[in-house]
Amino acid sequence: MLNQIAGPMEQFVVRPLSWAPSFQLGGYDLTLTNTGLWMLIAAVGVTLFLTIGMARGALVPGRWQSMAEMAYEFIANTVRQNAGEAGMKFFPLIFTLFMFVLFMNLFGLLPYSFTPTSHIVVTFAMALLVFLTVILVGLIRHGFHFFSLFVPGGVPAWLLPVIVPIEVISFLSRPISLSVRLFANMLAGHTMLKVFAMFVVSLGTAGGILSAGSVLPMLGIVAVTALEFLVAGLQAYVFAVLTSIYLNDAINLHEHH
Amino acid sequence: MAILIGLASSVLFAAAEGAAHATEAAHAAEGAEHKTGLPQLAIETFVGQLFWLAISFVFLFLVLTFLVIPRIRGVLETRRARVAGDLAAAAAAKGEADAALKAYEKAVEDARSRGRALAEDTRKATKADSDAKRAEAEAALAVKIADAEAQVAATKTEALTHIRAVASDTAAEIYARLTGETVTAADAASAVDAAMAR
Repeated sequence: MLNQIAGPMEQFVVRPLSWAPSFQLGGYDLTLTNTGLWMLIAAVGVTLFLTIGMARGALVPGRWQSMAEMAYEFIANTVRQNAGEAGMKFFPLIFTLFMFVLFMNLFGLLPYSFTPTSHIVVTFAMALLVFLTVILVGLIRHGFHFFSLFVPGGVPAWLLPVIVPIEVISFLSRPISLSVRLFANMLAGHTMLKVFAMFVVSLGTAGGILSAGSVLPMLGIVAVTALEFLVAGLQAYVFAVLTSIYLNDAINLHEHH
Repeated sequence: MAILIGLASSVLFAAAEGAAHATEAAHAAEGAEHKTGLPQLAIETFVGQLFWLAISFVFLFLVLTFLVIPRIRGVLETRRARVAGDLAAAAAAKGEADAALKAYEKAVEDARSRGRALAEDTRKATKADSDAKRAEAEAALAVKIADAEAQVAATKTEALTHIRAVASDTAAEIYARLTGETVTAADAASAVDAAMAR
Protein backbone atom coordinates (compact mmCIF):
# COMPACT_ATOMS: atom_id res chain seq x y z
CA MET A 1 0.00 0.00 0.00
CA LEU A 2 2.67 2.46 1.07
CA ASN A 3 4.59 1.81 -2.10
CA GLN A 4 1.93 3.56 -4.12
CA ILE A 5 2.06 6.77 -2.05
CA ALA A 6 4.70 9.37 -2.80
CA GLY A 7 7.25 9.73 0.00
CA PRO A 8 7.25 12.74 2.34
CA MET A 9 10.17 14.24 0.43
CA GLU A 10 8.45 13.99 -2.93
CA GLN A 11 6.70 17.34 -2.30
CA PHE A 12 10.07 19.11 -2.41
CA VAL A 13 11.16 17.81 -5.82
CA VAL A 14 11.84 20.64 -8.25
CA ARG A 15 10.30 19.90 -11.64
CA PRO A 16 10.01 21.90 -14.82
CA LEU A 17 6.38 22.76 -15.48
CA SER A 18 4.91 20.73 -18.32
CA TRP A 19 3.22 23.80 -19.86
CA ALA A 20 6.25 26.09 -19.54
CA PRO A 21 8.29 26.69 -22.73
CA SER A 22 11.74 25.18 -22.58
CA PHE A 23 14.33 27.83 -21.78
CA GLN A 24 18.05 27.11 -22.04
CA LEU A 25 20.76 29.66 -21.33
CA GLY A 26 24.53 29.16 -21.22
CA GLY A 27 24.16 25.42 -20.99
CA TYR A 28 21.71 25.62 -18.08
CA ASP A 29 18.08 24.58 -18.12
CA LEU A 30 16.17 27.64 -16.88
CA THR A 31 12.71 26.40 -17.81
CA LEU A 32 10.13 27.66 -15.30
CA THR A 33 9.80 25.13 -12.48
CA ASN A 34 7.23 24.66 -9.73
CA THR A 35 9.47 26.55 -7.27
CA GLY A 36 10.13 29.32 -9.79
CA LEU A 37 6.40 29.67 -10.39
CA TRP A 38 5.65 30.03 -6.67
CA MET A 39 8.46 32.56 -6.22
CA LEU A 40 6.87 34.62 -8.99
CA ILE A 41 3.42 34.15 -7.45
CA ALA A 42 4.73 35.32 -4.08
CA ALA A 43 6.37 38.40 -5.64
CA VAL A 44 3.23 39.27 -7.60
CA GLY A 45 1.10 38.46 -4.54
CA VAL A 46 3.04 40.91 -2.37
CA THR A 47 2.80 43.53 -5.10
CA LEU A 48 -0.96 43.10 -5.45
CA PHE A 49 -1.51 42.96 -1.69
CA LEU A 50 0.32 46.24 -1.15
CA THR A 51 -0.74 48.16 -4.27
CA ILE A 52 -4.43 47.24 -4.18
CA GLY A 53 -4.47 47.83 -0.42
CA MET A 54 -2.99 51.30 -0.86
CA ALA A 55 -4.89 52.11 -4.08
CA ARG A 56 -7.29 54.49 -2.39
CA GLY A 57 -4.71 55.87 0.00
CA ALA A 58 -7.55 56.88 2.29
CA LEU A 59 -7.00 59.14 5.27
CA VAL A 60 -9.02 56.70 7.36
CA PRO A 61 -7.84 53.27 6.13
CA GLY A 62 -10.14 50.35 5.45
CA ARG A 63 -9.32 46.80 6.51
CA TRP A 64 -7.06 45.99 3.58
CA GLN A 65 -5.22 49.31 3.70
CA SER A 66 -4.77 48.82 7.46
CA MET A 67 -3.07 45.47 6.83
CA ALA A 68 -0.73 46.99 4.25
CA GLU A 69 0.11 49.90 6.55
CA MET A 70 0.52 47.55 9.50
CA ALA A 71 3.04 45.42 7.58
CA TYR A 72 4.95 48.58 6.66
CA GLU A 73 4.97 50.06 10.15
CA PHE A 74 5.74 46.70 11.78
CA ILE A 75 8.94 46.30 9.78
CA ALA A 76 9.76 50.02 9.96
CA ASN A 77 9.58 49.85 13.77
CA THR A 78 11.65 46.66 13.84
CA VAL A 79 14.38 48.25 11.72
CA ARG A 80 14.29 51.49 13.72
CA GLN A 81 14.55 49.60 17.02
CA ASN A 82 17.37 47.32 15.95
CA ALA A 83 19.41 49.45 13.58
CA GLY A 84 18.40 52.99 14.47
CA GLU A 85 17.41 55.83 12.15
CA ALA A 86 20.51 55.22 9.98
CA GLY A 87 19.27 51.67 9.42
CA MET A 88 16.13 53.01 7.74
CA LYS A 89 18.24 53.46 4.61
CA PHE A 90 18.05 49.67 4.26
CA PHE A 91 14.34 49.50 5.00
CA PRO A 92 13.38 48.67 1.38
CA LEU A 93 15.73 45.65 1.39
CA ILE A 94 14.47 44.36 4.74
CA PHE A 95 10.83 45.02 3.87
CA THR A 96 11.25 43.18 0.57
CA LEU A 97 12.90 40.22 2.31
CA PHE A 98 10.19 40.07 4.96
CA MET A 99 7.22 40.29 2.60
CA PHE A 100 8.79 37.91 0.07
CA VAL A 101 9.65 35.25 2.65
CA LEU A 102 6.29 35.67 4.40
CA PHE A 103 4.31 35.22 1.20
CA MET A 104 6.44 32.26 0.05
CA ASN A 105 5.89 30.63 3.45
CA LEU A 106 2.14 31.32 3.51
CA PHE A 107 1.46 30.38 -0.12
CA GLY A 108 3.44 27.20 0.56
CA LEU A 109 0.68 26.16 2.95
CA LEU A 110 -1.90 26.11 0.16
CA PRO A 111 -2.71 22.63 -1.11
CA TYR A 112 -0.90 21.72 -4.36
CA SER A 113 1.44 24.68 -3.94
CA PHE A 114 5.19 24.65 -3.52
CA THR A 115 7.31 26.24 -0.80
CA PRO A 116 10.45 27.82 -2.29
CA THR A 117 11.74 28.63 1.22
CA SER A 118 12.01 24.90 1.92
CA HIS A 119 15.03 24.89 -0.38
CA ILE A 120 18.41 25.75 1.08
CA VAL A 121 19.60 27.31 -2.19
CA VAL A 122 16.85 29.91 -2.02
CA THR A 123 17.26 30.76 1.67
CA PHE A 124 21.05 30.69 1.44
CA ALA A 125 21.00 33.06 -1.52
CA MET A 126 18.94 35.55 0.48
CA ALA A 127 21.12 35.10 3.57
CA LEU A 128 24.21 35.63 1.43
CA LEU A 129 22.66 38.81 0.05
CA VAL A 130 22.25 40.07 3.61
CA PHE A 131 25.76 38.96 4.59
CA LEU A 132 27.40 40.67 1.62
CA THR A 133 25.33 43.81 2.16
CA VAL A 134 26.53 43.93 5.78
CA ILE A 135 30.19 43.55 4.77
CA LEU A 136 29.87 46.09 1.96
CA VAL A 137 28.07 48.67 4.12
CA GLY A 138 30.54 48.10 6.98
CA LEU A 139 33.57 48.58 4.74
CA ILE A 140 32.12 51.66 3.04
CA ARG A 141 31.12 53.32 6.31
CA HIS A 142 34.06 52.35 8.49
CA GLY A 143 36.79 51.16 6.12
CA PHE A 144 39.40 48.95 7.74
CA HIS A 145 38.01 49.90 11.14
CA PHE A 146 35.05 47.61 10.37
CA PHE A 147 37.19 44.64 11.42
CA SER A 148 37.22 45.95 14.99
CA LEU A 149 33.83 44.21 15.05
CA PHE A 150 35.82 41.03 15.80
CA VAL A 151 37.55 42.60 18.79
CA PRO A 152 34.96 43.05 21.54
CA GLY A 153 35.73 45.83 24.01
CA GLY A 154 36.77 45.13 27.62
CA VAL A 155 38.43 41.80 26.86
CA PRO A 156 41.94 41.29 28.33
CA ALA A 157 44.67 41.16 25.67
CA TRP A 158 45.73 37.58 26.43
CA LEU A 159 42.21 36.37 25.67
CA LEU A 160 42.14 37.99 22.23
CA PRO A 161 43.81 35.08 20.37
CA VAL A 162 40.88 32.96 21.53
CA ILE A 163 38.10 35.52 21.28
CA VAL A 164 38.90 36.91 17.84
CA PRO A 165 38.72 33.54 16.01
CA ILE A 166 35.44 32.81 17.80
CA GLU A 167 34.06 36.16 16.73
CA VAL A 168 35.22 35.60 13.16
CA ILE A 169 33.66 32.14 13.04
CA SER A 170 30.40 33.39 14.53
CA PHE A 171 30.34 36.21 11.99
CA LEU A 172 31.01 33.84 9.11
CA SER A 173 28.38 31.38 10.29
CA ARG A 174 25.66 34.03 10.19
CA PRO A 175 24.53 33.37 6.61
CA ILE A 176 24.48 29.64 7.37
CA SER A 177 22.38 29.95 10.52
CA LEU A 178 20.12 32.53 8.88
CA SER A 179 19.42 30.31 5.88
CA VAL A 180 19.32 26.94 7.66
CA ARG A 181 16.86 28.23 10.27
CA LEU A 182 14.30 29.20 7.64
CA PHE A 183 14.86 26.24 5.35
CA ALA A 184 14.82 23.66 8.17
CA ASN A 185 11.62 25.06 9.63
CA MET A 186 9.83 24.90 6.30
CA LEU A 187 11.24 21.48 5.44
CA ALA A 188 10.34 20.00 8.83
CA GLY A 189 6.84 21.47 8.94
CA HIS A 190 5.85 20.30 5.49
CA THR A 191 7.43 16.89 6.03
CA MET A 192 5.57 16.50 9.28
CA LEU A 193 2.26 17.31 7.57
CA LYS A 194 2.99 14.74 4.88
CA VAL A 195 4.00 12.07 7.37
CA PHE A 196 0.82 12.57 9.37
CA ALA A 197 -1.16 12.43 6.14
CA MET A 198 0.49 9.10 5.32
CA PHE A 199 -0.43 7.81 8.77
CA VAL A 200 -4.04 8.76 8.16
CA VAL A 201 -4.10 6.81 4.90
CA SER A 202 -2.26 3.75 6.13
CA LEU A 203 -4.24 3.54 9.38
CA GLY A 204 -7.52 4.20 7.60
CA THR A 205 -6.97 1.38 5.14
CA ALA A 206 -5.66 -1.03 7.78
CA GLY A 207 -9.22 -1.94 8.80
CA GLY A 208 -10.83 -2.65 12.15
CA ILE A 209 -9.94 -0.62 15.21
CA LEU A 210 -6.94 0.88 13.42
CA SER A 211 -9.22 2.66 10.95
CA ALA A 212 -10.87 4.51 13.82
CA GLY A 213 -7.40 5.40 15.09
CA SER A 214 -6.68 7.36 11.92
CA VAL A 215 -8.58 10.25 13.49
CA LEU A 216 -5.60 10.96 15.73
CA PRO A 217 -3.06 11.82 13.02
CA MET A 218 -5.83 13.78 11.28
CA LEU A 219 -6.16 15.95 14.39
CA GLY A 220 -2.37 16.16 14.35
CA ILE A 221 -2.51 17.58 10.82
CA VAL A 222 -4.98 20.27 11.91
CA ALA A 223 -2.79 21.23 14.87
CA VAL A 224 0.44 21.23 12.85
CA THR A 225 -1.19 23.29 10.09
CA ALA A 226 -2.10 25.93 12.66
CA LEU A 227 1.45 25.78 14.00
CA GLU A 228 2.82 26.13 10.47
CA PHE A 229 0.93 29.40 10.00
CA LEU A 230 2.63 30.70 13.13
CA VAL A 231 6.01 29.43 11.95
CA ALA A 232 5.49 31.00 8.50
CA GLY A 233 5.01 34.44 10.03
CA LEU A 234 7.57 33.98 12.77
CA GLN A 235 10.35 32.84 10.47
CA ALA A 236 9.77 35.74 8.11
CA TYR A 237 9.94 38.06 11.12
CA VAL A 238 13.08 36.39 12.49
CA PHE A 239 14.72 36.79 9.10
CA ALA A 240 13.88 40.50 9.09
CA VAL A 241 14.97 41.05 12.69
CA LEU A 242 18.30 39.28 12.25
CA THR A 243 18.92 41.20 9.05
CA SER A 244 18.40 44.49 10.88
CA ILE A 245 20.59 43.37 13.78
CA TYR A 246 23.39 42.40 11.38
CA LEU A 247 23.00 45.70 9.54
CA ASN A 248 23.21 47.51 12.87
CA ASP A 249 26.67 45.93 13.34
CA ALA A 250 27.71 47.29 9.98
CA ILE A 251 26.29 50.76 10.61
CA ASN A 252 27.12 51.32 14.27
CA LEU A 253 29.83 48.66 14.95
CA HIS A 254 29.53 47.88 18.64
CA GLU A 255 26.99 50.45 19.72
CA HIS A 256 23.57 49.04 20.33
CA HIS A 257 20.28 50.59 19.58
CA MET B 1 13.91 40.43 21.58
CA ALA B 2 15.45 37.69 23.70
CA ILE B 3 12.01 36.15 24.13
CA LEU B 4 11.51 36.07 20.38
CA ILE B 5 14.87 34.52 19.76
CA GLY B 6 14.14 32.00 22.49
CA LEU B 7 10.80 31.27 20.87
CA ALA B 8 12.46 30.94 17.49
CA SER B 9 15.05 28.54 18.82
CA SER B 10 12.42 26.42 20.55
CA VAL B 11 10.48 26.29 17.31
CA LEU B 12 13.69 25.34 15.57
CA PHE B 13 14.25 22.60 18.13
CA ALA B 14 10.75 21.28 17.60
CA ALA B 15 11.32 21.47 13.88
CA ALA B 16 14.56 19.55 14.16
CA GLU B 17 12.72 16.86 16.09
CA GLY B 18 10.09 16.80 13.40
CA ALA B 19 12.78 16.47 10.78
CA ALA B 20 14.25 13.53 12.68
CA HIS B 21 10.85 11.85 12.70
CA ALA B 22 10.51 12.67 9.05
CA THR B 23 13.82 11.03 8.25
CA GLU B 24 12.70 7.87 10.04
CA ALA B 25 9.49 7.93 8.09
CA ALA B 26 11.45 8.50 4.92
CA HIS B 27 13.50 5.43 5.71
CA ALA B 28 10.34 3.47 6.25
CA ALA B 29 9.06 4.59 2.88
CA GLU B 30 12.40 3.98 1.21
CA GLY B 31 10.90 1.67 -1.36
CA ALA B 32 8.64 4.43 -2.66
CA GLU B 33 11.47 6.92 -3.23
CA HIS B 34 12.45 7.03 -6.84
CA LYS B 35 15.29 9.43 -6.25
CA THR B 36 17.77 8.96 -3.48
CA GLY B 37 18.71 11.88 -1.24
CA LEU B 38 16.99 15.14 -0.42
CA PRO B 39 15.47 17.09 -3.31
CA GLN B 40 17.11 20.10 -1.65
CA LEU B 41 20.51 18.66 -2.57
CA ALA B 42 19.72 18.12 -6.24
CA ILE B 43 22.50 20.36 -7.49
CA GLU B 44 21.29 20.34 -11.09
CA THR B 45 18.24 22.43 -10.02
CA PHE B 46 20.26 25.16 -8.25
CA VAL B 47 20.96 27.44 -11.19
CA GLY B 48 17.34 27.39 -12.28
CA GLN B 49 16.12 28.16 -8.75
CA LEU B 50 18.61 31.00 -8.35
CA PHE B 51 17.61 32.40 -11.75
CA TRP B 52 13.90 32.59 -10.86
CA LEU B 53 14.71 33.77 -7.35
CA ALA B 54 16.78 36.63 -8.77
CA ILE B 55 13.99 37.60 -11.18
CA SER B 56 11.24 37.55 -8.54
CA PHE B 57 13.34 39.20 -5.85
CA VAL B 58 14.68 42.00 -8.06
CA PHE B 59 11.18 42.59 -9.46
CA LEU B 60 9.68 42.78 -5.97
CA PHE B 61 12.53 44.92 -4.65
CA LEU B 62 12.13 47.45 -7.45
CA VAL B 63 8.34 47.56 -7.14
CA LEU B 64 8.46 48.02 -3.39
CA THR B 65 11.31 50.56 -3.44
CA PHE B 66 9.96 52.79 -6.18
CA LEU B 67 6.18 52.32 -6.02
CA VAL B 68 4.84 50.81 -2.84
CA ILE B 69 7.06 52.25 -0.11
CA PRO B 70 6.84 55.88 -1.32
CA ARG B 71 3.08 55.43 -1.63
CA ILE B 72 2.63 54.08 1.92
CA ARG B 73 5.06 56.66 3.31
CA GLY B 74 3.12 59.43 1.54
CA VAL B 75 -0.20 58.25 2.93
CA LEU B 76 1.17 57.93 6.46
CA GLU B 77 2.86 61.34 6.20
CA THR B 78 -0.34 62.97 4.94
CA ARG B 79 -2.26 61.44 7.81
CA ARG B 80 0.31 62.57 10.37
CA ALA B 81 0.30 66.11 8.96
CA ARG B 82 -3.49 66.14 8.86
CA VAL B 83 -3.79 64.98 12.45
CA ALA B 84 -1.18 67.49 13.62
CA GLY B 85 -2.94 70.25 11.66
CA ASP B 86 -6.31 69.32 13.12
CA LEU B 87 -4.88 69.29 16.62
CA ALA B 88 -3.33 72.73 16.08
CA ALA B 89 -6.63 74.03 14.70
CA ALA B 90 -8.46 72.59 17.69
CA ALA B 91 -5.99 74.26 20.06
CA ALA B 92 -6.40 77.58 18.22
CA ALA B 93 -10.20 77.25 18.37
CA LYS B 94 -10.00 76.54 22.08
CA GLY B 95 -7.85 79.64 22.58
CA GLU B 96 -10.38 81.69 20.66
CA ALA B 97 -13.22 80.28 22.71
CA ASP B 98 -11.35 81.09 25.92
CA ALA B 99 -10.69 84.64 24.74
CA ALA B 100 -14.34 85.01 23.75
CA LEU B 101 -15.43 83.76 27.15
CA LYS B 102 -13.12 86.26 28.85
CA ALA B 103 -14.40 89.10 26.65
CA TYR B 104 -17.97 88.08 27.42
CA GLU B 105 -17.31 88.02 31.15
CA LYS B 106 -15.64 91.43 30.94
CA ALA B 107 -18.58 92.81 28.96
CA VAL B 108 -21.03 91.47 31.52
CA GLU B 109 -18.99 92.95 34.37
CA ASP B 110 -18.76 96.32 32.56
CA ALA B 111 -22.49 96.35 31.87
CA ARG B 112 -23.22 95.49 35.46
CA SER B 113 -21.05 98.31 36.85
CA ARG B 114 -22.44 100.74 34.28
CA GLY B 115 -25.93 99.75 35.27
CA ARG B 116 -25.07 100.24 38.90
CA ALA B 117 -23.66 103.73 38.18
CA LEU B 118 -26.68 104.61 36.08
CA ALA B 119 -29.07 103.50 38.81
CA GLU B 120 -27.11 105.55 41.36
CA ASP B 121 -27.17 108.63 39.13
CA THR B 122 -30.86 108.24 38.42
CA ARG B 123 -31.62 107.82 42.08
CA LYS B 124 -29.61 110.95 42.94
CA ALA B 125 -31.24 112.97 40.15
CA THR B 126 -34.70 111.85 41.15
CA LYS B 127 -34.01 112.66 44.77
CA ALA B 128 -32.69 116.12 43.93
CA ASP B 129 -35.66 116.73 41.67
CA SER B 130 -38.17 115.63 44.24
CA ASP B 131 -36.36 117.61 46.97
CA ALA B 132 -36.52 120.73 44.84
CA LYS B 133 -40.20 120.20 44.06
CA ARG B 134 -40.99 119.59 47.69
CA ALA B 135 -39.11 122.71 48.74
CA GLU B 136 -40.96 124.70 46.13
CA ALA B 137 -44.31 123.30 47.21
CA GLU B 138 -43.48 123.96 50.85
CA ALA B 139 -42.51 127.55 50.06
CA ALA B 140 -45.74 128.11 48.15
CA LEU B 141 -47.67 126.55 50.99
CA ALA B 142 -45.89 128.75 53.54
CA VAL B 143 -46.81 131.86 51.55
CA LYS B 144 -50.45 130.72 51.41
CA ILE B 145 -50.45 129.97 55.15
CA ALA B 146 -49.02 133.40 55.89
CA ASP B 147 -51.64 135.03 53.68
CA ALA B 148 -54.41 133.07 55.33
CA GLU B 149 -53.12 133.90 58.78
CA ALA B 150 -52.92 137.57 57.88
CA GLN B 151 -56.46 137.45 56.56
CA VAL B 152 -57.65 135.66 59.69
CA ALA B 153 -55.96 138.31 61.85
CA ALA B 154 -57.44 141.11 59.79
CA THR B 155 -60.88 139.54 59.92
CA LYS B 156 -60.54 138.97 63.63
CA THR B 157 -59.42 142.58 64.24
CA GLU B 158 -62.25 143.78 62.07
CA ALA B 159 -64.68 141.51 63.90
CA LEU B 160 -63.42 142.78 67.24
CA THR B 161 -64.10 146.35 66.19
CA HIS B 162 -67.58 145.31 65.09
CA ILE B 163 -68.06 143.56 68.45
CA ARG B 164 -67.40 146.83 70.30
CA ALA B 165 -69.87 148.80 68.19
CA VAL B 166 -72.49 146.09 68.45
CA ALA B 167 -71.85 145.72 72.19
CA SER B 168 -72.21 149.47 72.87
CA ASP B 169 -75.33 149.63 70.69
CA THR B 170 -76.79 146.66 72.45
CA ALA B 171 -75.77 148.04 75.87
CA ALA B 172 -77.40 151.44 75.08
CA GLU B 173 -80.57 149.68 73.90
CA ILE B 174 -80.68 147.43 76.99
CA TYR B 175 -80.10 150.44 79.22
CA ALA B 176 -82.87 152.37 77.51
CA ARG B 177 -85.34 149.51 77.86
CA LEU B 178 -84.47 148.90 81.52
CA THR B 179 -84.34 152.48 82.70
CA GLY B 180 -86.31 154.31 80.10
CA GLU B 181 -83.51 156.72 79.82
CA THR B 182 -81.30 157.11 76.85
CA VAL B 183 -77.56 157.22 77.02
CA THR B 184 -75.32 158.72 74.50
CA ALA B 185 -73.43 156.49 72.20
CA ALA B 186 -70.17 157.83 73.58
CA ASP B 187 -71.14 156.92 77.17
CA ALA B 188 -72.16 153.44 76.10
CA ALA B 189 -68.91 152.94 74.18
CA SER B 190 -66.76 153.98 77.12
CA ALA B 191 -68.75 151.71 79.45
CA VAL B 192 -68.22 148.80 77.02
CA ASP B 193 -64.52 149.56 76.76
CA ALA B 194 -64.30 149.58 80.55
CA ALA B 195 -66.07 146.21 80.78
CA MET B 196 -63.91 144.66 78.02
CA ALA B 197 -60.79 145.86 79.73
CA ARG B 198 -61.75 143.95 82.86
